[in-house]
This record gives sequence, C-alpha cells and structure tokens, in this order.
Amino acid sequence: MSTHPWQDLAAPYALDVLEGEERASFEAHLAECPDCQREVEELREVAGLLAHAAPAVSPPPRLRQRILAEARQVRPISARPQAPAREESPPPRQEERRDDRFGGGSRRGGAGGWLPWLAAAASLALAVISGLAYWNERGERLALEQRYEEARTEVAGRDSLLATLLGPRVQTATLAATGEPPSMRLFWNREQGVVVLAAYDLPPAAAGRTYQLWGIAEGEAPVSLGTFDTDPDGRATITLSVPPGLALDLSAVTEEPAGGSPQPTTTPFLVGPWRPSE
Amino acid sequence: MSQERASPAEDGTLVARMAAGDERALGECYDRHGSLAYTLAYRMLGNAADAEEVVADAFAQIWRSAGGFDQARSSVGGWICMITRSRALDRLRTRRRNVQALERAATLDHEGFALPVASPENSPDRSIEQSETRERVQQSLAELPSPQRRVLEMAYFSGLSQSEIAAELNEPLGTVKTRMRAGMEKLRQALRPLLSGGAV
Repeated sequence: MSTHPWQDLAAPYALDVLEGEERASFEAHLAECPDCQREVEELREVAGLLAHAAPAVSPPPRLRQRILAEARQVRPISARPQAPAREESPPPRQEERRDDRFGGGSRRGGAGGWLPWLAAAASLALAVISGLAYWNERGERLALEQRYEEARTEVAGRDSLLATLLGPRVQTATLAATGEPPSMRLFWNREQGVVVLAAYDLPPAAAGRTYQLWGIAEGEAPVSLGTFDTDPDGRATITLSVPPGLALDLSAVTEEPAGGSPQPTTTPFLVGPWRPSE
Repeated sequence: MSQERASPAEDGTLVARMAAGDERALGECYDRHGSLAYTLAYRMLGNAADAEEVVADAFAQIWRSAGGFDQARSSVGGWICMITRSRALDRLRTRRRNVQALERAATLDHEGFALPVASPENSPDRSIEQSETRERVQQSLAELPSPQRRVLEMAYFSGLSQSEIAAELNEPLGTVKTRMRAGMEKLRQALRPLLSGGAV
C-alpha cells in the first residue's frame, strides 16, 4: 500500500482539509478501494487523538447545565426530531455522513446551532404524543404531560417566528466581530419583507444610544434596516421590516445616537456577508 | 480522572443509555468527555464563548444521534472529538468568509473593530492534564520534526488546507504535502497502541 498513488491524499482527507476537485476525486476512489478506506479510518483515529495536544482548559460549570437543559427540550424520548429543510447539496463528505446520519446537523454556518433546535421544538409536541406509551411504562406520564403543556405553549409562541425563518426564500447572514463575541444571525424572509435578527453576547447600548442594523450592496451607501437594543443578558430576537427590492451583499451593525442615524456615524463592530437563499 | 480510554465498554453502555433517552447518561458522558471537547474547541476557536457554543451544539448532536453510534468504527471519545471539531471548523470557515467579505466592502474599509475582545479567564483543567493518552500524544508530537508538527497543527486545529498552509508558511505546496503525510505516518506508528486496531 505504500506505493498506492492515492495515498498522498489520505492524510489531508482524514484531517478534513482536502478541498474541491481533489476531495471529490479521492472520495470517488475511496468508494471503491477498501485499502484506502482502512487507511482513512486509521488516520482519522490518529487525527482524533490530536485533540489531546491542546492545552487543557476547564469548561464553565454552566455548560453542563445548558447541555442537559437543551437535551430535555429536544429529544424527550427515542423519537428523533428532524430539522426540516436542512438537507444540503454539496458533495457528501464521509465525515458528514457519519455525523449527520441520524440527526441532521447545522453544518455550514447558516442557521448555526439554534435553528435546528427551534425546528425540533416544533416537532416536540408530535414526538411527545407518539411517545406516550413508552413513557407510560416508565410511570412518568404526569411529568410528561406537564412538559407537554410547557412545550405546547413554547411552540405556539414560536410558530410564526419559525414560519418566517423557514420560508422558501430566506437568506441568512452571520455577523461577527472577527469571530469574537458578540455575534448575530440574520434571517431575511423576502416574501414577508422582514429580517429576523438574533443577537448574542451583546451588552445593551449605553444610555442615549442604540444599535442600528445596515444593509449594504457593494459600492453603495448603507441602507438602514432599523434600530434595536438587547436585553440585560446580551440577547435580542427582533423582527425588522425591510423595504422591498433590496439586494444586499453585507450587513453591519453600528452604535448610533438614540433614534438612529441616516448613515453610519461610527465604525461597524459587527459585519457579515449575506448568503444566497437555497 | 475518568477520562476517555479508561473504559470503552462503559462508554458503549453510556451511549446505549443515551439512545434510550436516559438524560443522566448524557450527563455522565459529558463528565467523561466534555473537558476534552471543550479543550479542543477552545484551542481551535481561541475564545470561551465560541467554544461553549460549539460544545453545546456537539453534545446536542451526540444526544440526537446516539442511536446510530458505531463502536466498531470509533471510540466514544474519538466520535465526540470528531463532531466537536467539525462544528468548530464550520465556525472557523465562517469567520474566514466574513473577513474576506469585509475586505471587499468598499463602503466599509475602516481598519479594525471598535469592540475590545474580552480575555477569557479559563483555568487549566487538571482532570485531563494527566491522562495517559494525553501524555503519549503530546510526547509523540514533541518527537516529530517541528516543521511536520506545525503542518499537522495548522491542519487539525485551524482547518487550513494544504495550499493555505503553504501560503501561510511561504513554502512550496509539495513540501507541505510531504510533511503532512510523513507527520501522520510517524504519529500513527507512535500512537499505534492507542488505536482500535493496535495491540495494547
């Protein structure tokens, strides 16, 4: 196997850094070559061990609570909520197939981590009903019914938001300050003429100031999409109306005097490109 | 030190319990592998907030997909690291796209950003510091010629392609390819006892 012509590609493939043509042709070969499959599996294991080379840091204690709380909401029983409209088109990568075989993931940015969760919440009610028998056996029906009520309330509240996010012509953008927090996700539903803005880790604007969202077409002056502020824990989910007929390449956020400005008066601290709708 | 390779059998049981909807099993699984996942995400992304998001996403996926985990193909720790890294790579690549978009934006060509970057106050994690696997991996990496180690770290932790690494290091692409392959081969030999096919 040491002289196998494809072997040069096994290492970068196992490290998931092989791209484009090379990746596609190697995958085509891989499908038919048991030697290379073994090679890649073993090199993947080797690559996986590299995680141990990172300097150890402790996760914050809240992370454990958060993971458990989210798990409780999303998959209460063995039924698996599927996030709708998440099947994506690029050439399948083996790792993705392994990852996403069962639950669908939030690969390629897009809606990032929470859209699938939101979608999953919508299917929760259904999953709960179909799982009643299972939980009966475990004598947890009462607890389940209570959770069902909570879930139903939550789902009802999010139904319209979800419809906005999952519409057929929705463009998304992720805004970040060179990748550091705060960050923001935007969903632009062209049919409804609204942008849903979800902000994270953004402290509320100072007194007398506000945040302003801008849409930018390359080479043209920014267009205001509206002002907003965040709550004390740095979050906001806000729906803004957008004029029809806009074509935007980027969005950006600045801090402005209360009421907003016709054009940005400060340097944008969050910027990101709009991705075409799928 | 209840880390990864302590007990593959127990790990397998944990995943089976998760697949059956046992939330406590998810908690135990996190206790066992969460620190390593967070360590990896933090190393890749360089900040606590992103690392936290990525690990939460990864464990959500682990929870959802536990029913399909194939123990014959990977250890549980390896599976969790793979998912975590894959999520972190998504973020890294999004960041790079944003930076490129920013550079193109004629109307926004200011230098730098207004917001200061908070420095995370993370403490070293003792529980995974002394794991046997960890020692072995670090030692094996330390024994690689440093150009090979560098290439592997840039690929694994930063998700850079071979041509991106070549550009970054200002080296010919062929050199980078050779280093990557040679480095992986040496690591494979050194880490053989830790691999599922390797004799213990």
